[in-house]
Amino acid sequence: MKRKVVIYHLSKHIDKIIIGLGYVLLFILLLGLVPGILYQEKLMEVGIWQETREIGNDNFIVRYHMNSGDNKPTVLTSGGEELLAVDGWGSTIEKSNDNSPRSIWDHTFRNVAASSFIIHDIAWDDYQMMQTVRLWENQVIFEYKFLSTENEDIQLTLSLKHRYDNYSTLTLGNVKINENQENELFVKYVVKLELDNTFAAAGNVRYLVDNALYWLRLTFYAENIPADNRWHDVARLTMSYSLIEREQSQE
Amino acid sequence: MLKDRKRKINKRLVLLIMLALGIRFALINLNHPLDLQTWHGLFVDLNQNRSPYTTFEELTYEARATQGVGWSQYYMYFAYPPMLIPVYYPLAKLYGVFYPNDQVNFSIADVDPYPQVPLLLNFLFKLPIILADIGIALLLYKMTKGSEKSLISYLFNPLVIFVSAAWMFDSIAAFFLVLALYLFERRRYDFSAVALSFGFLTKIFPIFALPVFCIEFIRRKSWKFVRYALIFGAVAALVTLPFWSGVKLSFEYHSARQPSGLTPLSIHFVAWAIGASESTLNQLEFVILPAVGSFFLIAGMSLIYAYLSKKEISLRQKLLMTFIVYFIVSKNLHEPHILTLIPFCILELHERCSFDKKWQYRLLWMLAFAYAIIGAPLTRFLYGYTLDMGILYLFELPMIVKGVILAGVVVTFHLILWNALITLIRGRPVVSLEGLRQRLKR
Repeated sequence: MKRKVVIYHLSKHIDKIIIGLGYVLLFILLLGLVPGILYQEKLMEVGIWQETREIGNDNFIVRYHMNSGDNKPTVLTSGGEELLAVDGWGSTIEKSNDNSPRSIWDHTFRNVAASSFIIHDIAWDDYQMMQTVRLWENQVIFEYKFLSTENEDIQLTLSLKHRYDNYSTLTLGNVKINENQENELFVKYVVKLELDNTFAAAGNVRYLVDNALYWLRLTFYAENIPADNRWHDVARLTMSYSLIEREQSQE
Repeated sequence: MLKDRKRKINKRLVLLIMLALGIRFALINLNHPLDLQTWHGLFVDLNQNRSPYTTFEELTYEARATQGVGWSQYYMYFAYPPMLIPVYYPLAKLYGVFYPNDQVNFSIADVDPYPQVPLLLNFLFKLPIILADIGIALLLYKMTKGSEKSLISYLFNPLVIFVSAAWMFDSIAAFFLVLALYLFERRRYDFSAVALSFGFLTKIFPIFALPVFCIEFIRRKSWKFVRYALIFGAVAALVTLPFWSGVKLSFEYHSARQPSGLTPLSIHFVAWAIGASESTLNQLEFVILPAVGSFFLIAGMSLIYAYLSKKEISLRQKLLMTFIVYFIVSKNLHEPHILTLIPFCILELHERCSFDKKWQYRLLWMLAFAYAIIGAPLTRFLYGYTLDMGILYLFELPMIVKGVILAGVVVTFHLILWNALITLIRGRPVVSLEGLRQRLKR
């Protein structure tokens, strides 16, 4: 009987109840507006990051420039441990200056052991490190900087995951490296980077893909880097980036 | 005699369905480049037993790192509820048998992709969509007591053909929605709730029908609305929970997405055209207009539900009015979305046809189609056949001309939506095409 009375009243006043619920939802929207806007603002504040790498006799330096705001980036190994806490690995993170949200973070691997397999999983807030890749109109540019103390050629094996149409040309320096290649995925190229004075001073290699329709995602690994023995022992150095859950990255 | 007639009708129906299938399968190699990248990624992810939400999250973080602002706060990948995962999992596995090493090269955020995929992928992806189209047509046939006209109107509507064969999976969600209505009318309430939940789990919009069904119970002074809502919620929770983090990110994406498509809230394009600064545009696109959109959505839907709760009209009409209002207040209204209105318009035309309603229906889908032809533009769908930019962008108009035309289409489209809504509420339109025709005749 009571149920019947309730449903009778519910049915009678359903329009008013809906309007009331509408007001409640609008009020909730209003309450959520401020944190929502702040969250959006935060997302919009964050700019791009940049990355440079330097190869020394027995070390490998990765330098990241990124927005850090008030947070400190978290560095994790492939196993998920925090890299900063691992002995033998050096890292510094510093804010560039108080007026800028941009931080410079230098991070040096010393005494690299044989068969080391280094995965850089670097997350900061919601952000994931990646290569500096830019696509402008008809070309894709990847920029890497190498600095070698040895006055020798560096041989790089590039593992390219790519697809491009037949009009595109991929050039490395002055060499067209896909001239006789079919459209393929995961192609490996062994490329000799001839050192010249400019390169030795501040190496700058550009990969250009003319008329590209696709973004190229590039993972590269360096092989047989003719530095000293220690480096020679590092048969393979793979740099790759993958997602770190947000929860993991928060300190 | 009766048997012969029945057999004749059945034969004709089969022929019509075969023709509809034939037309659709002939068009499967047409695609929207950005969306095809998503379907391709979905197949590759599922074949590798990887959740497409994980890829969506990764791409989103990468996009934020490279772009930082704007469009790329979220990468436009798999930002849908999870129903497509069980639907496409077996098909993706089948695809994997033929293309085990297939990979996706996602375009950098904010850059148009031009994925080249095997024809098999197009076929397998579009198969459930096309079957859903047939399902809707058959439901309409049954719901209009065997009206062949209703079946034909849906199956051979150019917008429906284009959306299902070349673009989006809206027909799967629309199928579940129409099925929910059909089952509700047959008093199979539990199955109706399950079907509606499946619709919501395919694309979000069918959830706006849930209050209409519940209110209908309340109006009839029945407590069954509790059971209906619980079944809906339980099914939705069961499918959603395993993918909760990805679904949450998808919802975040949709709530923060800048208004676009056939909505007056796309006004930020005007600000862009007159040279507003980047920070102003960002504020407008990603903060102010989404907030205004949410306000409109809550206010508009509350008003229509309140109005319908006291109205003695058929459930079909109520759903039609609900989705008209939803399209009026929605901040993201793209051409494929209009497909949802079409079955309800056909039902309305079957029961209460008038010259005005007929033209309102025609203009609604024609304007949506016109928007796609100019906006996308249509020729870009040909890239499965050619990568010649001259052909792909043949219909691309100068930015200002395109903007003016699209704005005109949006305004006209909304005037017609309002006119259609008022026609349903008052029984006569504000601007009567019938009156106009008679005046012209005189």
